[in-house]
Amino acid sequence: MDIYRNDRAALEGLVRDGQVHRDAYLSDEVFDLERERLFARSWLYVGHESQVPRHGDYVTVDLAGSSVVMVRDMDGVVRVLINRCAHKGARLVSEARGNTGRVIRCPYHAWTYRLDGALLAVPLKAGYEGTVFSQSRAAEGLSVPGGVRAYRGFVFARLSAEGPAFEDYFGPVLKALDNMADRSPQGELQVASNCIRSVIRCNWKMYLENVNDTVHPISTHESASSSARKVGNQFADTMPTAMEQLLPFGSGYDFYSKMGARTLPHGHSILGSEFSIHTDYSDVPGYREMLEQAHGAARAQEVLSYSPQNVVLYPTLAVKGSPQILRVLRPVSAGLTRLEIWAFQPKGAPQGLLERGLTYSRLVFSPMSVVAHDDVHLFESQQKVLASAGNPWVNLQRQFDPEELNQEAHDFEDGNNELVMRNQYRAWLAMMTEPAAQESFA
Amino acid sequence: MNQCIALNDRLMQFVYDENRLLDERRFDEWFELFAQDGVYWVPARAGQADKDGEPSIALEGRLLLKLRIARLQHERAHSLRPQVRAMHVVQRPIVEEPVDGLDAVSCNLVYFEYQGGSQLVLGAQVRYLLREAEGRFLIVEKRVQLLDCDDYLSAIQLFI
Repeated sequence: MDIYRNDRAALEGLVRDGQVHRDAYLSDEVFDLERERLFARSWLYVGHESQVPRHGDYVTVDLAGSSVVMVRDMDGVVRVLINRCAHKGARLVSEARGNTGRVIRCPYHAWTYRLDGALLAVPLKAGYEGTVFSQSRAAEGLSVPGGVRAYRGFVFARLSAEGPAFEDYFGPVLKALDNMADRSPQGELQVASNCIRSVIRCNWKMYLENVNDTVHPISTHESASSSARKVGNQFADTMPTAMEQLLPFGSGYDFYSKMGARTLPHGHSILGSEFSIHTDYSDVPGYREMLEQAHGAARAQEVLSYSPQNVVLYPTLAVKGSPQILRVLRPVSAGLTRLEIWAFQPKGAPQGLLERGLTYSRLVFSPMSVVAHDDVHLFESQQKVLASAGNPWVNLQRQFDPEELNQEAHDFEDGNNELVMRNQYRAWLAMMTEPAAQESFA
Repeated sequence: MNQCIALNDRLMQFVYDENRLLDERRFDEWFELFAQDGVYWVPARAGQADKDGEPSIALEGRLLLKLRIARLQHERAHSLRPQVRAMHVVQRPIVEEPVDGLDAVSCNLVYFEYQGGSQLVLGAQVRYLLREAEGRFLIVEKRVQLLDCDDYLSAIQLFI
């Protein structure tokens, strides 16, 4: 039974004065609405152009319930297509990655498409002549997202034909992607050969809130940071990178209270606009000089000194510029979230930079990470017990000020202000209360 | 000939004993099986040959293994409540050709990890590279090649 679809007031009732009702995390209906109204109309991260260097190279991705192919066309342009044959709906390519050749050919009845999705050939063509086929959806070829945009090599898609334009949607938060790309003397990144994947039995919004949660590390990750301190003393001269990355998880509330934060329209945020746990990573020999030569001393300094804790490109991407990592959320259902961790090498820079990102990925985000274990355990516990009798609310009211609703963007000093999370729900509600057109996809 | 059989038997027995230490949570003794340069490695893709330059699910030398073991004993390791229990079901090990002068032995493994009403089951092929020193084997590399290494995996909390 639909409770929320046709009842704007009920949806608005899910977010109240910095509290979020449990249905936002638990309800299957709310998740279905998120697919139609939120994910379909926002710009979702698909992949990086360097994953498909040659003509015909492709990767497949599940984008909010749609199977998509990111493929490099014969003209060099990276395209995004819906991975569904226009004929009877068979999946066109089944591998996670590969090369299509010059055309995509459906394995079922051999319908053939150009790499831009146009229908090239069908068998028994004469059987369609003089029929209404030319007016059918099938004749139009493959479905494509309503919008596709490559920005500094990062490829995004908006599934729906309706929704904000790319630059309007992201605005100043794109600076985080510029910063990552400009960490290369050539201004280009090479993504690692593959990613680390994990699945968490929790709602995607719990994970995304936690990306901006500065108050949890000292208690949640105490076992990891204190074990790192203890063992680090015994092995003082080995694995400096691992210690450099793990020890800051013991940073206290004061540390985060001065890091600076910025919230932006559409749910985006920059946590740690002044500094973060990544700020004090040691220099990689020769790297700064390379960047100075390429970008000039001022820009090099600007690039290297900008290392926020997390930049959220709402709703499914979190960027760590300094260890050069993207966290990509692939929500599956109300209670299941897939996560991909991608590390990047700035082209032309020392290889040590990729190793830094790979080490961080293993230590902090992998399914075997001693840091992530405690996060995942707690998110999954939320998902399990939120439905319990009594209080139905999740509370995000630290430093809540009703006046904050009068302003679209905020700059503030204290990263412990839960405005960095409330801002996500402001965008969430704005999209969720706006019904989608009947036909979402082009 | 007899010596050869004896070596094979010892290598196979090593695999059984190593897995038993993990099942019995004798982590400190297990740690002492690793050579100074020893690593525990869980690749992120099938056929992965390199530890450097591409992602791994785990890649840990003695420092990080020690850290993981210290955390397993930490009173505020929240994710370990309720207790996590593991079982390794080891298929008869196969002695391989030596690799770079190191003894090599591998086995297929079914790994169970249980916590609070849910059980994780993983299949893996495990290969050990071993160095003999003072009459015992030390692990130079334990490589755990998970069957579903490139899938979205849930948390794996103990040592496979």
